[in-house]
Amino acid sequence: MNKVLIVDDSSTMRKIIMRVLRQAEIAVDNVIEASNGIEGLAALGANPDIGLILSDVNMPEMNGIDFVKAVRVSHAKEALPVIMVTTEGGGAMVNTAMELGANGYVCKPFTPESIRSALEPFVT
Amino acid sequence: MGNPTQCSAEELLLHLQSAVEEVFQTMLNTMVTLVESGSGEASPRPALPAASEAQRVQFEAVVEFHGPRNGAVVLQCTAEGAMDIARGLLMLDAGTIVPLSELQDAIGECTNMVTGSLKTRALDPYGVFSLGVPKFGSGPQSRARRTGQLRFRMSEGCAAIEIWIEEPAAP
Repeated sequence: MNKVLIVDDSSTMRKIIMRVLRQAEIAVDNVIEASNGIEGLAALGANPDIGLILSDVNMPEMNGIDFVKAVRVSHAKEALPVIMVTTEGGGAMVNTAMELGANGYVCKPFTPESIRSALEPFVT
Repeated sequence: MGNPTQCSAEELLLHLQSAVEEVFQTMLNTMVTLVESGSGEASPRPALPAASEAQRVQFEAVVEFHGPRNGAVVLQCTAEGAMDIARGLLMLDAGTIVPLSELQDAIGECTNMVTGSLKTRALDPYGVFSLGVPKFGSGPQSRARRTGQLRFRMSEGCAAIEIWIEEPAAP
């Protein structure tokens, strides 16, 4: 795994996700943080070796739905997995994100096991 | 007579309690002790069980929901309660001092997760709802009234979680 991009407006949640990635023993070389979709797109442009994105749905400035839509303009679903990490379990927003090209989703609150299960198909 | 297209205030409160327990057990690895619960707007807004003036409410986060009915979940806590929540979420040792900016963010994210869990349990079965992002110090919507409240203790601090439902607009 090269770099992982975590997009979430909560710094607390970004820290939790980083910790859970370690707990789940998912090998990550480097983690890049962004607090909304606009920052996420900028980070992606500056770091073409990002190999996985974990994104919140409800964020100010640019939400996770618009972010996924924008990512898929330049990156195919098979080339860059995007996993939504959201409180909107099974809701309309998650369905929309999946239709727009998200590869999966994890509901908050989550356990290290649920993160591992969601990421397993996409990490080595 | 209840409206079969939405939860009653009592059902919402039970779902809120389950949501709080789920979030605190899963994300904070903490069991909360329920001190008091109540539904309806008749009961006065609770004074948190505080030992001293310094422990009274110092943090408040609001997450609104919108859909067939609009409302908000409000989390209030003492400084020690906020510290308990932040330490739990970040898995920090007891006694670790969390900076003020991180405390507010932690309270907002905790409120966000509780509201999301409540939405899945009590709102989604009745229609399409969306959630707002956490707000601080603004209170719930102006037309909303409190329909339920939970007060609970954590290891050192106290917190209250309220659910507010917006009154329909006048015709």
